[in-house]
Amino acid sequence: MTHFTKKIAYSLLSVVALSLTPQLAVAQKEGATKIDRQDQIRTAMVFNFARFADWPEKPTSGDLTLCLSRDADIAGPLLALSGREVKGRRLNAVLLDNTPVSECDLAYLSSSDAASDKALELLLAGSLTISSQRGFSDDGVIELVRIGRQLRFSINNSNAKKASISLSSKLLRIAVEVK
Amino acid sequence: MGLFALPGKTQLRTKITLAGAIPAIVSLILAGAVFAAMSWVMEHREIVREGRATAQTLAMNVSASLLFNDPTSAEEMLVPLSLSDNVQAVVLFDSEGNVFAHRGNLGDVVDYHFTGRDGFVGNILVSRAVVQSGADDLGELIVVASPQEFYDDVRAMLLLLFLVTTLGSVLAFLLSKRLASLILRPVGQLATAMDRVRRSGDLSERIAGRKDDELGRLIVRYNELLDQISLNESELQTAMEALVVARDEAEAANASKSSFLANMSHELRTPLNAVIGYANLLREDMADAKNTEAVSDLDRIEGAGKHLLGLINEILDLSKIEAGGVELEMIETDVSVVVREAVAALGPLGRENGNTLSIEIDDGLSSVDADPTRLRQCLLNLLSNACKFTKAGDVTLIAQAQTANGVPGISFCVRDTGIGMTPEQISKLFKPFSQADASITRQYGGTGLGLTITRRLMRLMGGEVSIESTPGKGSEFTLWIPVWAKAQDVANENSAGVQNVA
Repeated sequence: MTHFTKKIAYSLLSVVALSLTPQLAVAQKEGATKIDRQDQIRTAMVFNFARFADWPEKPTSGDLTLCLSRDADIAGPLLALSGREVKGRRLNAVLLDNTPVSECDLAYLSSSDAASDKALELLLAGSLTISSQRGFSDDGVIELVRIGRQLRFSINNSNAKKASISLSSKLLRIAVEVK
Repeated sequence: MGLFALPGKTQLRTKITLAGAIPAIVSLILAGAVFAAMSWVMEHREIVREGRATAQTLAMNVSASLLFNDPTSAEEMLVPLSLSDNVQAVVLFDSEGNVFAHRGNLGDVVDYHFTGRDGFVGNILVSRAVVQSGADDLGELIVVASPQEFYDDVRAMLLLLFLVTTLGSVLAFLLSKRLASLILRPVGQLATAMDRVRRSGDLSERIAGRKDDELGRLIVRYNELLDQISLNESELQTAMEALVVARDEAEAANASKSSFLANMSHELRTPLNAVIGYANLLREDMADAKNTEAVSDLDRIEGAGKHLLGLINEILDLSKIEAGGVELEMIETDVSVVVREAVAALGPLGRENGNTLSIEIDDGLSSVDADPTRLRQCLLNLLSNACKFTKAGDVTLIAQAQTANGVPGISFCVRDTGIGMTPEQISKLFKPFSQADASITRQYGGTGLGLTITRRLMRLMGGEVSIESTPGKGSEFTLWIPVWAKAQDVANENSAGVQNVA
């Protein structure tokens, strides 16, 4: 992928994301009943990443905190995950704005947050950062990518190591790309 | 018992061989069968466990693929296992039971999934594992394999077991046979030795054998038995030789005695006849001279002389019979004539003691094959005895047809009402020179040879003498002579008839 095409794709995706955001917000306001199939999968993927990650330097008990950008495309469905159990721990989905980065075990970032310093900050605080933002796998840990009609992900394992996060080989094996 | 029943003709060797071999063979087969069954069960369990472990390992690895809905990566993970020779299919179902990913022949796997069967289904090994992430069941992995190697191994093992069992059985049989031969060798030696002794009659032969077991002791006993037989035989031989000598001596002595008696009787009779004759002449002279005293003395001399002559005649008779010198003249003899002659010959003696003498002869009795002189002598003997021992009684001579032991014959029965005899006296009756009582000789006279001579004569004629008597009431002496239907039977049945009557 050349830089040029990447850029075009990025801007295109941004346009799509921007155009979708109000709709999502509307949808959320309407009761989160009409959720896009892709968003559903995306939400499930974020939740499942928690299954295959370990935070050796963080406490292994208590809530597992998932921090969200307020403007993330699937903020609504992710917030709805609160209370679900992962690896014997309760998942607590919170907004990134209200939470110190050190408490974020996972973080799903919107395109804008993904491009900001916030992503690096979270990474250094030991948070598993996830985003659909194109090119996020350079700065974060997991980037959700669309390949044809399939939604897949690529992993930056060196960033994961920087964040002292151990990702399961099972996860690495099915990643589209592992950096 | 039915299982162990062997035909009666079965050789001891075969029996011992079977006794040794059968338990060994049965044990071998049993052990082989148990081993085969156990191996089968254990191998079976092992391969099922192996299959399950493989499926579980794979199931753990495909959980991420299921969670992230990535059939491609799942299929990639199924590939290595599906390449294995035995594996027919590897299928991953999602939590809703849909095929998520698969390699190999999908075929009946979906059925296995829904029937929930695990382990061996026929020859097919179905191994299943639930794909889990934490507490969530994500799906199920099913591996379908046809474990050809397992069956090959089992077949090879069974073949090996069969070969080992067969070989073991053959070895057991051969060993048992060899042992049976070893055990029975002394028996064979014994049989051979016995056969040799039987054929050669050589009792000095002995078997050299071990002495430490039952058969060894049997051989020792056999040798001892031969010793004993040899000893007994030599003793018997000695005894027999002594007996032969004694018999020859006795026979010689008897013959010389009989010969002596015969000669002596003859020599005695000649002067005695002279004494009697001259006493008679002298008595007539004295009667003419009216010398009554001398007449009575001479009567006594004549009487004594005649008595002595009678004795001598009887002794001569007995001696002749014993020496085998009597020859009977067996001719057809008229029964009534013989009876009347005997009664007539008895003469005045019959009436001497005031006895009544009578004769009863059955009608239809005509003749008998006998020596008439000797038959008359026997009848006379019995009649004179009866008259002698009866006073003022009846003496009856009855002649009638009588069958003894199936042989037709004629009996002459002399019945008296005299003093009779006890059974003890009867038992002594036929011993030579013996009367019922020693005192009888003094009282009644006689030599005691009469009955002995009578019985010997009767036996020579093929007949017999029998006696019935009650002390004080009388006696009954019966002569019985067979009547032979055909001339040629005489020779054959003479001795038999005698035996039967005796």
